Amino acid sequence: MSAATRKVGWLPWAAMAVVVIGALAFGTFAQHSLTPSERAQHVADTIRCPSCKSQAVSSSDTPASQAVRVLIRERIAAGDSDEEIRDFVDSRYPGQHLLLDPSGSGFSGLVWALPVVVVVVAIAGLTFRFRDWRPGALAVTDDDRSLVADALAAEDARR
Amino acid sequence: MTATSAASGPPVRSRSVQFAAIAVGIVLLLLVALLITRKNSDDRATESPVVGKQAPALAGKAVIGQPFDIGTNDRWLVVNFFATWCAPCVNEHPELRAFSAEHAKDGKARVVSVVYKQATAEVRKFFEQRGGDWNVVDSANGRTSLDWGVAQIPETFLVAPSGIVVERFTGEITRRQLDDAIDSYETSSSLTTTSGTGTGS
Amino acid sequence: MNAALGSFGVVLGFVGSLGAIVTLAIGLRGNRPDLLRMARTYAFMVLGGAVVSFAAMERALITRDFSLKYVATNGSSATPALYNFATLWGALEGSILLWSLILAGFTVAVVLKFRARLTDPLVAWAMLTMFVVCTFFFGLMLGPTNPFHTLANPPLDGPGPNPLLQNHPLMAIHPPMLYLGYVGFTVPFAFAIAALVTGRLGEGWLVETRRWTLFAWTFLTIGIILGAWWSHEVLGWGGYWAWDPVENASFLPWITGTAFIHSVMVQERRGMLRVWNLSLLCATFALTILGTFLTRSGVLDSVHAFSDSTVGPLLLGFFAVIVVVTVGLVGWRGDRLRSPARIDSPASREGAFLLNNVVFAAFAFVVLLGTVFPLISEALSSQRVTVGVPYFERMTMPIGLTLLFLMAIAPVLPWRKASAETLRTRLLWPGWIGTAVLVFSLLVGARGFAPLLAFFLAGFAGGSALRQLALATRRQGIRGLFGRTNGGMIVHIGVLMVAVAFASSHAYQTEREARLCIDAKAGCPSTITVSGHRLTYLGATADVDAARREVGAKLRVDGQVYIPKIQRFPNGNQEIGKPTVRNRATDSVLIAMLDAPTKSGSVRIRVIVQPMIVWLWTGGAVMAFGSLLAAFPGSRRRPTDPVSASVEASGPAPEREPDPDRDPDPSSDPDPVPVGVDA
Repeated sequence: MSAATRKVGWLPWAAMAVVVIGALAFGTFAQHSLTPSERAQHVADTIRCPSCKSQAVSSSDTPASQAVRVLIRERIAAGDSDEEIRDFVDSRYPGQHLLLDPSGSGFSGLVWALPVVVVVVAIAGLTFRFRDWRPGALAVTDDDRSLVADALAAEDARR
Repeated sequence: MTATSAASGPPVRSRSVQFAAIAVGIVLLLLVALLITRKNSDDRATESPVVGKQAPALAGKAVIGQPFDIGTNDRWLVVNFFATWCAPCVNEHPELRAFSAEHAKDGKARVVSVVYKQATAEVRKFFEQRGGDWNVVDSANGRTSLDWGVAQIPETFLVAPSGIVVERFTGEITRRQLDDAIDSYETSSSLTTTSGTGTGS
Repeated sequence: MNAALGSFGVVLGFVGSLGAIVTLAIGLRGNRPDLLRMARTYAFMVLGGAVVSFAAMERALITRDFSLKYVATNGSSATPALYNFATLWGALEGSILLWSLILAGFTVAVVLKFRARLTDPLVAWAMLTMFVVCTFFFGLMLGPTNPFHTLANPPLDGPGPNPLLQNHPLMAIHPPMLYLGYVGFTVPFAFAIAALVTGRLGEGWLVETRRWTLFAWTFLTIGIILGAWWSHEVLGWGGYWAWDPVENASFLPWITGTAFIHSVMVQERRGMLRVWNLSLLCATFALTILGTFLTRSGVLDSVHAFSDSTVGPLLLGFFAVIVVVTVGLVGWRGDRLRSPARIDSPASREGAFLLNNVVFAAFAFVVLLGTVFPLISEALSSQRVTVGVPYFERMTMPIGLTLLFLMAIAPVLPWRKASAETLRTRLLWPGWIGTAVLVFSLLVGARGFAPLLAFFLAGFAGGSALRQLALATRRQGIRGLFGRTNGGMIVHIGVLMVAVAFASSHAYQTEREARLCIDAKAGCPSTITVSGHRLTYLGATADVDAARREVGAKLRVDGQVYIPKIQRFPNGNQEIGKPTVRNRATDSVLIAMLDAPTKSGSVRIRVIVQPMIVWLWTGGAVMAFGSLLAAFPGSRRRPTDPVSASVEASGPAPEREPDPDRDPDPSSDPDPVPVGVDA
């Protein structure tokens, strides 16, 4: 009774998939490489301002942050990789924990791993809980049909 | 009836909700226990990267007086980070003046100020108006305050004659605090010979 | 005088709440309707107390009564009227006062809404819960956060509020909005507790509190968006969301509240997810308390550092009580909460809601874990780590993309079970809209996998939302915009605007620092061009008044004059930058002054150009508007109808025919909310 008026086959979807995948691939691979100042900005996003509480170097203007920004630019000009710059800044201020991205190893690896574990467990648990999701488990029996038919008949009778 | 397995479900699985509730409760109470035993982050923030270490260089350009090299220093040194737009910095200025004047006579200590972030002219005007005759250097585009780990001015560091930073004061400083600190370190270091070559950088 | 009046108000509120608890407890125990009816009197008494305290504090602020410690430490005679009024919620004690006022207001609102049913044990228990919360907050004001301490030797003037809180009008309205949201979640929480205690879990209480939840959620949304707007306008980094602990604290209840608003529909329709829904409501309220603790205790490193008070342990203790009570009740009533109904297929409306809730739960978990992880690490491994923006961005990006995908698919899914053919048909045009958006983004120069995927999914989801709205308005005209489903679709469109703005402003931000001179010379131009915007330095400005001293730089930006400033406040030890923003629909130019202009005629500025920032704020407005529409009843729905799927736990009752062919098509049923069982 509520069936769609027009049936749609797979063809338009295949066409759409081609366009979308093509566009995404083009947009991903046709990126220009980062300019030094963009790189500097990205690195500055991942380093905490040494004299602030939680702001990144890129988002604070204390003299310390300005100094780190100068430092980052110098190192990029000197040809260091982003990771080298981060390690260099971090090593210059021992005990300050300037890197905003917690490392993936050791105890702090938990902060990355735990959410993944929790999501996997949650989905596995739900799948287990609803494992009779297969349509077969929901097969409508004749009893059901008669029950509904009775109910509808009673409804009609009342009207 | 549909979903027959569901009808027989509850008695079998009835404990799962309770287990889940208890587990969640325990985790959350652990979190509470964790939070309640934590110190205030302000207390933790006062850990300084320089105390107990060789004083970093004051590499900035001279604003008043000469460029400053800690290595040539044979007295106690008070390094004061300030700006004239900072009210506590202005308040503590007379204290520093008194401290500097007193120890200029006995040759025991001296003061150097580092401009945190300000135009040179304003600083000169401030010292003309309010007195003070010690060296003032700028912060080398913030490099100096970064090296010293200055979070929020005013901050004052006490550097022993050996060139080791021994104490960090945050907030308004008084002459009394500085003198007391020097006295206590002199008493203790008279018992042991201080190490450190005082070469600065 | 002010202090006496204020303290009287606090005591009145405290006594009123305590009295109400005792009266209601006795009334419930002895089954005495006369006592239960007294909730109304007590509620007005508590509100009266809160209003008196609030008025006394405002009066003290306005008359500059520095004999009050709060005024002496937070007020000043030079503060302009608006900020002076807002000073009430600028510090801890005052914000608890505002909290109490709003809480008392909600208590009275509940009493009035349910005035005919005050003797119903369910309502009585809900009232009791609300009064317990009132007691806690008024108790705070009697103890550690007493706003009415007086000083023996009042100063002649005070320092004024934190400079950051008095340089933008948004700061005056952001906290009340946030608090309306925070406190509003007390009402559904109270009903959840009442339902658990009375064991009446299959009843329509959820429907009745749905609108309260929506109300609180709307204000929380507005509050968060205003806070982001304020950050963008005032802080000058081009940032609006820094995943700071305090921001996360307001975001966590928003996440769980949003999850609830979705999953409650499954319960209304199918009678499922009862434990989950109750847990979500309780979690939302508990998170508002935890958030307040994180904001106010200073255990976490935050830019918004308020802190330093003994209120922390009390808030944490209250949080622990909420956890214990909720967990205990859910464990106790767990059996009754079980639903006989099952999910038939993951490819169904309820399946999508379930997945939505898994994703939202993961979202909340990530945010909470990232926020407290530095503390966990410090405690368990004595290793301090910083968990900052990069972590949150990397972890929440897949979550955000999944949510966008669900927003595209879920609105067209029928309940129970969808066939592939149904999906193909209904999603075709939304899919092409998404594709068009993607191609358009490519053409205007957008690059990068994540932002492009976000644009595609946003277009797709926007198409699904528009499809629903188009079908509904075709059938019903303007009325097709009202009701939960259709209002919800408008909220979705607002969310999509925010998501697109978030993605593009992050991915395509241009930043430049430069020194400009009035008279151009080598290395110091007078005009620069950043992303097509021409900026010319015209000269310095200066302005001094009692409240502040400010210097500015006059700049011509695309032909109009803008003046970023630096402000110094007499008692502050920091300089506060006051950037300016030139907003357009396609991009925003943020200009911050880095150093004061020099006498020689130069100034150093930072220019940040971000595309589509305005969409964030307009998207927020659309969300608020949509949830207003969603609060109106849909065309065919009586809001107080019992829910169709109120299946008693005693046994599985027959539900709808699960035959896919008979499944109502949501497009032919624009507000697929039950109207009795297929009646």
